[in-house]
Amino acid sequence: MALWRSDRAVRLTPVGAVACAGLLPLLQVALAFSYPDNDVRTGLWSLAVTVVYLPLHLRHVWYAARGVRLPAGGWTLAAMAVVIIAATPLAGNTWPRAYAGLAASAVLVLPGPWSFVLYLSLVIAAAPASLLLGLPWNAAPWLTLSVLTGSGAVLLLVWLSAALVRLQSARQVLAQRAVAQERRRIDDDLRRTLGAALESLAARGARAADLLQSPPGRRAELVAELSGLADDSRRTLAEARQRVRGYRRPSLRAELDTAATLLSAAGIETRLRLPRTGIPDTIAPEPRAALRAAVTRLLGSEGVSACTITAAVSTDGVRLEVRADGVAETIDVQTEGRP
Amino acid sequence: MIRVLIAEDMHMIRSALVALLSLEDDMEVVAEIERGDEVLATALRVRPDVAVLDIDMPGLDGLSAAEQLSARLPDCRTLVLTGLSQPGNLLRALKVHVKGFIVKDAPAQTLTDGIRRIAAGERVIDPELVAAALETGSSPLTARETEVLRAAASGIRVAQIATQLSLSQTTVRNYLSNAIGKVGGRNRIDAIRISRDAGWL
Repeated sequence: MALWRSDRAVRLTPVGAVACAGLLPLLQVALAFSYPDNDVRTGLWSLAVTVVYLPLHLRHVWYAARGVRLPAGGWTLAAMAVVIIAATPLAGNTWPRAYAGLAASAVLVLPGPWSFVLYLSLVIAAAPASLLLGLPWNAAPWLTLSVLTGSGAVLLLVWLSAALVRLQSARQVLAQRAVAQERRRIDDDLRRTLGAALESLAARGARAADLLQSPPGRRAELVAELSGLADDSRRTLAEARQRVRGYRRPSLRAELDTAATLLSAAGIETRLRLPRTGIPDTIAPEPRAALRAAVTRLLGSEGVSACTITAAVSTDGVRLEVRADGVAETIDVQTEGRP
Repeated sequence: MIRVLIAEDMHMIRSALVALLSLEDDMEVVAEIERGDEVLATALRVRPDVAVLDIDMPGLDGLSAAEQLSARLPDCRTLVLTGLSQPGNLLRALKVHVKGFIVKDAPAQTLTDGIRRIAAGERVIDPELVAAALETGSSPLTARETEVLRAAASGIRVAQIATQLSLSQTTVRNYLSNAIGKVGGRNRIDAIRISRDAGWL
């Protein structure tokens, strides 16, 4: 599974399609040397013609398997058709098997109905052509089947490869869109909150600078302004940290586990009771802040010896109960994402 | 009068802390030291009520020094000053009975109040650090994996780690491999970085 999820596997599929498309014509060359009624002459013709048309065919397959538009595809298909059909009387009685490559290229290069018409014509024409060249009548159906399966295998591989490439590119587009959306959300959020706070700091700083120019009688005012500026800066810093943490959104389960671990480490015997049906994946900022405040309070209390954190599923989400030494606090967690 | 020991390796910060606490009427700085491995000996000599320790010190880190203090001088309460960058340290601090855990950039008032509350028997944990610790999560590593990764972080080779921890080299490699997988690192260096940042080492 990991192999097929990897980008490398997607990159290799067009190579696989090209390899398959190259293998079938080579088989055809071997037949042209060895099949009954064929000889070295037909074999050499077959080899020479294959050397001429195969690069064109592989070019068609390579572009189609990557889902890329083929430049001057019509011309290269025409050249391939001329070479293959012209070689029919010379390259032996099994040569019409090479129509498989031509038929596959026709489907890959030509648009809509024309490609299918040409494909069917070539598949149908292969058997009669072979019979005319002296192939035994009982071998003709096998030749037709061979053309069909050969072209079908190439087309299937090309389709699979192109689909994988398209899927990968769609996934990348979705990922990019999600990143852009998240950036926009963070940007808006920062502008609305921290942006306003920073502007207020700048304004206070400017006021303090003005007060520095004023007569010494206003010193108390300047001190008040500067200490206000320091308080605001600290508050803004704390808010910035909270925001940055808020963007990460850990799972509720992980947060509860860590809370239990921290409390146990502080000497408070802590039990976590979770429903078997599971709990929401994420936790909204408000209940998260309430949970953290409860944990902080418990960590600060010296006398607490035992604590139980219970999560109960309700219609709206989950209700957390933090019970420490008989005192309970409840936190309602709205459902954001079900497990 | 609360007797305070200050351990901080940066001279300027240490002087500032001493000056700050000297302004408080109910506090007296009885010792200032710059190395973690001097904390226990000094504390045994001057018997402070509260030891304010920096988390990163040469010789011995603040949490290990706090552990020694807790074992040898339980009446001395410790307050550790830390940064927000290693939230996993909170768990370790609680385990070694640190009573106060405060971020370094907190207002001065927080530190003085914290020392008073700790001296009065309370525990003072900065809410920011609790939030950061909950955010990061507890360490996914077992004690042995942590030990092996910590040894690897010191730069020694697998053979040396194996000798140091009385393990076979294959076992050390297995622990390292588990640790890398658990923290989501790309390799050993990445796993050490992630674990250090989270305060799990």
